[in-house]
Amino acid sequence: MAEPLLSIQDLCTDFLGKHGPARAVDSVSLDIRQGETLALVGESGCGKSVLALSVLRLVPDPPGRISAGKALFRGRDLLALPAEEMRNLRGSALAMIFQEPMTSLNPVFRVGEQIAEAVRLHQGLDQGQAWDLAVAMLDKVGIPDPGERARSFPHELSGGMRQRVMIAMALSCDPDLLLADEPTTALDVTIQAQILDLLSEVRQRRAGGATLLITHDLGVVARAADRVAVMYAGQIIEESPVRQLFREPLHPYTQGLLASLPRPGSRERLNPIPGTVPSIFDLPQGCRFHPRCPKRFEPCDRQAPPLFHPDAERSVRCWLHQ
Amino acid sequence: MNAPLLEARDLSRRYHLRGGVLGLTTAVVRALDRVSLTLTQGETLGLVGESGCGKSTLARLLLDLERPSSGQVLFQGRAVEDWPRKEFRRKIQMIFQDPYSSLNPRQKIGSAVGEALDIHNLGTRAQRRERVAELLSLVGLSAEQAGRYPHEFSGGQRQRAAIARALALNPELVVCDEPVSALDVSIQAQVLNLLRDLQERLGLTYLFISHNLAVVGHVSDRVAVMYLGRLVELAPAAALFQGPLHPYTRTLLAAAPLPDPEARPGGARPLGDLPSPLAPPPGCAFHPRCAEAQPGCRESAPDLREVEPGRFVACHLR
Repeated sequence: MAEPLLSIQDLCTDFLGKHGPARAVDSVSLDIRQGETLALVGESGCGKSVLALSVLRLVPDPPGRISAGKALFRGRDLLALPAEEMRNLRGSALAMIFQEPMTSLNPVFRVGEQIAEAVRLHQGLDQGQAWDLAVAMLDKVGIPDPGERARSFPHELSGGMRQRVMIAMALSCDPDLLLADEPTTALDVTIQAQILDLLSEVRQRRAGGATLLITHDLGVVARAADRVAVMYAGQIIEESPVRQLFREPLHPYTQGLLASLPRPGSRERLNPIPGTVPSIFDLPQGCRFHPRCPKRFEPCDRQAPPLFHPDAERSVRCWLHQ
Repeated sequence: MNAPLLEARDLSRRYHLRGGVLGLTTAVVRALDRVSLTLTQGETLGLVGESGCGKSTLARLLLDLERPSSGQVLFQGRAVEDWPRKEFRRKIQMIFQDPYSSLNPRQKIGSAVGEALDIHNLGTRAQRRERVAELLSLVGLSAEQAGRYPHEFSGGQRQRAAIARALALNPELVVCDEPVSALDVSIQAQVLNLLRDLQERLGLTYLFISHNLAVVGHVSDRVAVMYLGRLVELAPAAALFQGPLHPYTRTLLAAAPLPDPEARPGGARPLGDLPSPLAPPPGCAFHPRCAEAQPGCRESAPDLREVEPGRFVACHLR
């Protein structure tokens, strides 16, 4: 198999709280392969966004700190690069799309200028060339009348348009790795479908690249991902190709998530996971999921399970699969 | 069929945007355009549609938080403006999307839940305390938690507290505006089950507003679909999800991502963006995004018609 585009190895990120540090990302290892869309799913506070920010070294420090691990991008450790070199990679080889485009775009500059700025910085084009490329990118992401729209300010655009501007900006330097953090969460479903189509088109056009798609929405995962990693309380608890994950989830948490989804047309009672997600400042002993787990047995409350590998493509952090 | 609990007749709401030094009307937004519907005692009516479609405006009119520009709302057969304020407020309550902002951070949960009892002067102090404890246990919280502040609760628990508060005065109708949208999936399921249990125990009627089709399809008896201020389809939930009639409903259903990788859809993609409600397209408001649009669709707006018993659709082609 080809070398992964990004190989995250034993990454730990800590946050300093009132009562001492807590581990938001706990020894996460994850490979993102060329050409794939890997979905990172989990509920709020599970550490999925912090993981992506850690890879880009954008975790605010303090209170956050990457305390261990590597993130090998094409074999080079991003976490050990000089700050200058990292800055050059961000926005060119690595790009990120955030959830809320209104807060990530600068309200006082025209959107075309904001895209052109990124292009000028990273590709050394002059003003005119950069503007032309910005207009071409807006066209590519399906914005009608791009020459005119490039002159708009962010507040003059709809939410779907703004998210497309963000995507145009992220793609303007032709990144190898796109990190998309809840890129469609703030959007209406019809616009969401268009954006997901757009992202998958981009993935197909760009052969050697890859996308890390962070989401809490299992519908989005099912539609867009090739492989899935599920996070719970800072750890990866299951990793699997997308079809197998939905057909035969291995971890009781993944099973619980799927069982708690309402399905239209069925009015049967839902099967929620009891209890709530533990705080990373106060984690249970043993397996972090055991207090909510319907299948817990003898070792679960005493010993934290490692990742087991039932087959070459899947891994699961649960004693049931020892 | 029972007499309707609530009836909306031809409700319209226009907002006038003013600008310039003279404050003259520069534009008129038709937030709601001739919407009629009824709610029967004990049912759940789902209301779906994308941002700006008028869902929340409709809810505000039904709750009499705002008056319609034209049309009328009847509650138990009586026009809402003829109801004594306090009595009306006891019969209809609301649950909001965001329990973080709908609860006062400096007010203890018990006091938030019991506030309505104080305002309406119900019972003695001891009786009220007892009622608060009863309400908290009804929604799966404990009486001891009455003394805690909202920040000591998780998102799901806060939404439970908000539900307890809405139920304090034994309302007939509860308007739920995106009640589970801010919650994680595992918690969302807990709250949906709770809402259903409460409906069975207390005989509640729900108007359930959400953009999440799976959630609406799960909780509703009937579903109303709105687009740019108008009702475009109204049908029993099962029928709507099995065979949507309006092209917009089809588009919505095709766009909603299902948690099943085998069911990745092809085709039926909506074209372009939602039009601005400031300048809705002429004729049928959906025609610029409709794959089936005919020349006639540009000419006149279709009325909502009953095409099968209980199924209503506003489309020239049906």
